[in-house]
Amino acid sequence: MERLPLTGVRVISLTEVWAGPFATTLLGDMGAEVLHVEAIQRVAQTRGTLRPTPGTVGYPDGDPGERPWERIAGFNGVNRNKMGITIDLTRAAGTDYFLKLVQLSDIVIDNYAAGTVERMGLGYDVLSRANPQIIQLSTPGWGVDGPYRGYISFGSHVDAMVGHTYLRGYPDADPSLTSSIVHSDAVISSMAVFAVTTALNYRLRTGKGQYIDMSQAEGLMTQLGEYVLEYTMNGRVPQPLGNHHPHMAPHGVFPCRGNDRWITIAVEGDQQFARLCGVMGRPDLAEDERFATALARYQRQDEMETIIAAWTREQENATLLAQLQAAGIASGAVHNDEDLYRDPHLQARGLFQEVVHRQAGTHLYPGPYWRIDGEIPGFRLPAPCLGEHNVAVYQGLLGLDDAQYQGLLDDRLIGDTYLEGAELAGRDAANP
Amino acid sequence: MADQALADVVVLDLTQQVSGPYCTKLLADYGAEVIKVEPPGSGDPSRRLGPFYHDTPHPEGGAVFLHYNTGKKSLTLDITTDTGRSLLRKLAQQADILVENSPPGALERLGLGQGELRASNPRLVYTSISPYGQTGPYRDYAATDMTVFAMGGIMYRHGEPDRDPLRYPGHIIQCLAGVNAAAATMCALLSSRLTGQGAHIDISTMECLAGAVDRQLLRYAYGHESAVREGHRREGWFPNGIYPCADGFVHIGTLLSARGWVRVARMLDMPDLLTDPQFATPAARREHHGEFDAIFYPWLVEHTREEIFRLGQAQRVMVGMVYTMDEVLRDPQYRHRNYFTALDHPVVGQQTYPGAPFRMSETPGRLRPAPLLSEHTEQVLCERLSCSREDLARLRAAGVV
Repeated sequence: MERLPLTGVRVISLTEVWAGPFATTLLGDMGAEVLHVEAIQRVAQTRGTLRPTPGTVGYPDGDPGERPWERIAGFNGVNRNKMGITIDLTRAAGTDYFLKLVQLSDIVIDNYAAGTVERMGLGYDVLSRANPQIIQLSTPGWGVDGPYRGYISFGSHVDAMVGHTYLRGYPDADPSLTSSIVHSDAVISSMAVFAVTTALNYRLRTGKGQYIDMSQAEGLMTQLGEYVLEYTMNGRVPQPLGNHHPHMAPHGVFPCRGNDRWITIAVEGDQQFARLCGVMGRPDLAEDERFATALARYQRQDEMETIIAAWTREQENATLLAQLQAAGIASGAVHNDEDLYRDPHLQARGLFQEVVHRQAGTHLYPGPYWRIDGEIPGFRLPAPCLGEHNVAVYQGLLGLDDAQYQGLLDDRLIGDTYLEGAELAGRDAANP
Repeated sequence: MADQALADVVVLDLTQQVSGPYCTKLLADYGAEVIKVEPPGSGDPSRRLGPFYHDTPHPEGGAVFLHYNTGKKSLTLDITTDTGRSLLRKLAQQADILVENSPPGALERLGLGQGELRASNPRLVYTSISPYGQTGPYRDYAATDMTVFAMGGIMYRHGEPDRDPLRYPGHIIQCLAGVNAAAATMCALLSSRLTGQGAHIDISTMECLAGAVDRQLLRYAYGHESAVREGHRREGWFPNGIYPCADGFVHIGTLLSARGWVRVARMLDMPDLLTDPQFATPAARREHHGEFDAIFYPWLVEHTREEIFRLGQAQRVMVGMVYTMDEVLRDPQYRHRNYFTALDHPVVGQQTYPGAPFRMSETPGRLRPAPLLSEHTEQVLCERLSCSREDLARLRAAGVV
């Protein structure tokens, strides 16, 4: 790749936690210059607590070190390929510098609660006066207006209110026994990239910027359309199926040798079923009238699953995977973190890249994964330390001389270490 | 009507099922002209996926096809024939973007690979979506939504620790690949607009899962221990998870900090909690979570879901209501924003669909119904390739269209 696709595009990332920061990371992967804005007056949520107990999970070898906020996986794993700057946006001088950056930028992204950037004096009316070509995207949980304006959420609360949480539960248990896992951030981070690049295409044609209001709930709902239509067309309320499928059977997860090891198997049609029976060494089952037709298999899937589980239980999931795939049967091992890091396919494709982080040391990081002309875009920058790129941005980009820069430091408008009280202040404004 | 952001973009859509169609739906909903190429006769196999309108199987009545193909044109073309391939190459010369989700290598074997098509149209962005990508040992692995979800590492985390891992519903994993593809494709299109050089984009669903923000894989590299299925409530982050209440279930999230705890006490209207030494620190709250539950559960069952949602949000406690689909459709927020969109379709009539996924102030998204099979064959061939009526008749007779 001679030139990354978004070379020359500058993005201001006024984001916290997952959906917003990862959107700007993906833009950085594609070559945009991303300025991630933080403040020394306020600890961002994923920077963690300032004095964690040694041994706390999430730090390299459990060691939080002197500057734990720069050694925490929850931040460092989400914020590659961006520069880190600090500004105190509660003061007019800070807002002024922010607007100077807006004049030199193409895109501003925030994922705070609706109304937050306006209260900071950074609403679209202000930004577009500073730069009529600016594209601003806000992505609160439920959008910027309406009765839930200002409400806060993590992705899991968004998942709940679009029906995803209900549908992903165990069919035999009530929703309180569904895990607190989060899906919407993975979706919204990519969708935000799609939205701003769509706006850039329009700007290329017309010279006009615009404002994008992305409700995380509304974005995610477009991936549940068949469920919406099942209700609106047929008046039926969709129910969770667990690992079963509306028409494929067997379709489920089966235990394998070892602790908490599993394989998924999905079979469609008589031929695939016969092949599965062959791999199992049970060709008789394909002839057995209990399972001879798709309908029979569907109706007796619990019985059939018991037979399959008795077979899988004795074997390694990796062995089963190779056998099933050799027979052309859709199947997948249930991978945990260690499996992923050791996975020969991900290694061959280069998902992991060795990266040196100034504070955290050298580790294998999951990196960019949109391949362009057969190549992975580089992991150009590890997650920034607090204010790491202040000099590059304030002096290099905005042209401040040494004395002016020192003035910003003296005023504590910028800096690279949190001030007293930053931790308590840090928990208030976010809508991750 | 307002201009649309992608009104100047032509997309040749060779995708089927959901991953590719969701990608091109996003492009179509924001104004791109998407020409969906379907095999003559049967069309996209997702036309045969239910649920169906009035539960009657019909190639124009399946919810999956109707939703994931809004705003596209349907062209039937048999690309296994020489004539079909030649027409497709001509269309590719006029396109800005081509999206495909065939098994890796399949289009190349038909002479429609990215190398050939880009040779005759260097500015083309050619996007390939597949479960495992265009290279690597798993390239040709058979997959469904569930099996690739498992391989991508999220399934292991979803469910109760002492039960089976659980998949996500429907086709949402294919959608995750689709939205990644749409975003990457647009980045490449912008570059193509500026440089005249297109690109081949290779999106692997497994990597969209393993590399995604919710996977948090770096914790393993730092800590050397695989994350486990946390189940319905997380240890030490509390109260957090899905709780029963008077009329359903709520998902409540609190922050670990002192401020988070103050907000919970305010939501419960129990200021005494703040002076109770049992709950004085995060560690103490963890230790005494049983004591807290003994207070919290009775409070929950005395309040409705909506009351807890309002009380929690008023104190900046993150709360979401666990909705079923009928409740989603009744929710006042989506209604206030006119999110759901009614579309008229010749076979299923007027139905309500999820609307455009985000709002653009200058160039709003706009949904148009999914096409009938072959609805635009004549229009596309005549307008784009200047086919005459006689040409069309000949192609029809030969079964090419």
